[in-house]
Amino acid sequence: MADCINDEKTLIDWVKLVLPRIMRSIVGGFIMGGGVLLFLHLTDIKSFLPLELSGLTTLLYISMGFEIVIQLLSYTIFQHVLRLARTFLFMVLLVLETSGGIINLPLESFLTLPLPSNANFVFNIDVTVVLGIFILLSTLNLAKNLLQTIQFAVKQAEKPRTLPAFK
Amino acid sequence: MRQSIRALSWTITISSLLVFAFFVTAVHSLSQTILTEQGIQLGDHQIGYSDDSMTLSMPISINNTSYFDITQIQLSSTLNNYYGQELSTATQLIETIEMGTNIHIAHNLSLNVPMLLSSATVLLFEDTEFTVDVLVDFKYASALGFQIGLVNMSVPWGAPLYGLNFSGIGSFQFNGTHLVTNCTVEFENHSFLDVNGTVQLTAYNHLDEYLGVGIHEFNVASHSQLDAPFEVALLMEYPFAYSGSGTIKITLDLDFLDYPHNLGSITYG
Repeated sequence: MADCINDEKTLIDWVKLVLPRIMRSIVGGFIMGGGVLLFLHLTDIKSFLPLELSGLTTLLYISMGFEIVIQLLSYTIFQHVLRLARTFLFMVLLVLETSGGIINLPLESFLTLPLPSNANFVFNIDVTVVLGIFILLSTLNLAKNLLQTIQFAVKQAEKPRTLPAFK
Repeated sequence: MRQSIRALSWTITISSLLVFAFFVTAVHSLSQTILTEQGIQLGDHQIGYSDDSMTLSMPISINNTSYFDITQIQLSSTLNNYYGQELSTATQLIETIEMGTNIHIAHNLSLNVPMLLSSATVLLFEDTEFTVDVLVDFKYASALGFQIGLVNMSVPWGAPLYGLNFSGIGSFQFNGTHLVTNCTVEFENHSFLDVNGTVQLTAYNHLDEYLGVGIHEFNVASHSQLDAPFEVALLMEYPFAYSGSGTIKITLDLDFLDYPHNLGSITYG
């Protein structure tokens, strides 16, 4: 019982435990999307790009959100489970956002020459090969995250446990 | 297990970065070529006419100023009528345009005018608009597929016999060998081709027996009109069958049509 009381954490212990995680989550969130989002908000780059950025910003918000939660829950099984979920979600979102690899870009406003009357300019990119490579890499990432999850679970199982004293 | 996870992790990171860098470089390079340097240019189309076919010629120049080769280039064009039905299509293939090189070609789209007018007689008499779609498909850096083009470009179609009206047949004079009459054929030639042809008047008696035929030739240049009255003398091949009354069938025979166009018939006497 005395051991149990001694194990109870003080406020300082909690701060020591949580503060590095919060710091890591801030840095991780910035790297995994926050920085780019901040850049997009602060600059007028959207008006120069021939793309609707709503899909990209959604991906960045999701990436940043996942990274923050992953860093906050580091050294737990949830960190690895969330990494698995993030990889899988990204695979799906990448396919949806690129319409299966065929992207239509509205570039008419970027043309310097006038178009013939009633004519429409068409610009489509077929990125199925690149998308296929990214899907392959994501699958490898999925496998890696699964291995990390198993490794973590095995480590936890191998840790010696002290059972509470029986009254 | 730990080492293998680490190796896998590095492999994924490095591969992802390389693929992403390649993708960004390729898209940026081609965007610069197309948008800034006008590397792919579609010139103004020109319409020509020869041997019963109308040819739409579109000059296309591709200047590959980018970092990668352009391969499997397919130029395709389609001519559609007002209702979107396909009238003609043409495809042209170019194997490779290496980086730093350029090509200038004329992409031709042919249309058989007699066949078109046979299938759609309304085009003889009414102005309308055709639409042309021009698409350039190609592979860039052997990995990315691009499709660039202009769709719904309007091409005006001017009717060669716009406002066709046949009038003025009045009195007939029979001189024993010929049946002479005055008439007027009016129309405006809105098309790009000269309209050469004949108006043929065929006379029959009241028993519908063939009497003879008279022909008037006309030549109406592009974007001009025919409205002057003319005299037609019908040569009576069977003058003894002339009874003073009957019908005259009027047909229009145009050089670019395979068949005479029937304008109807009138009675005389």
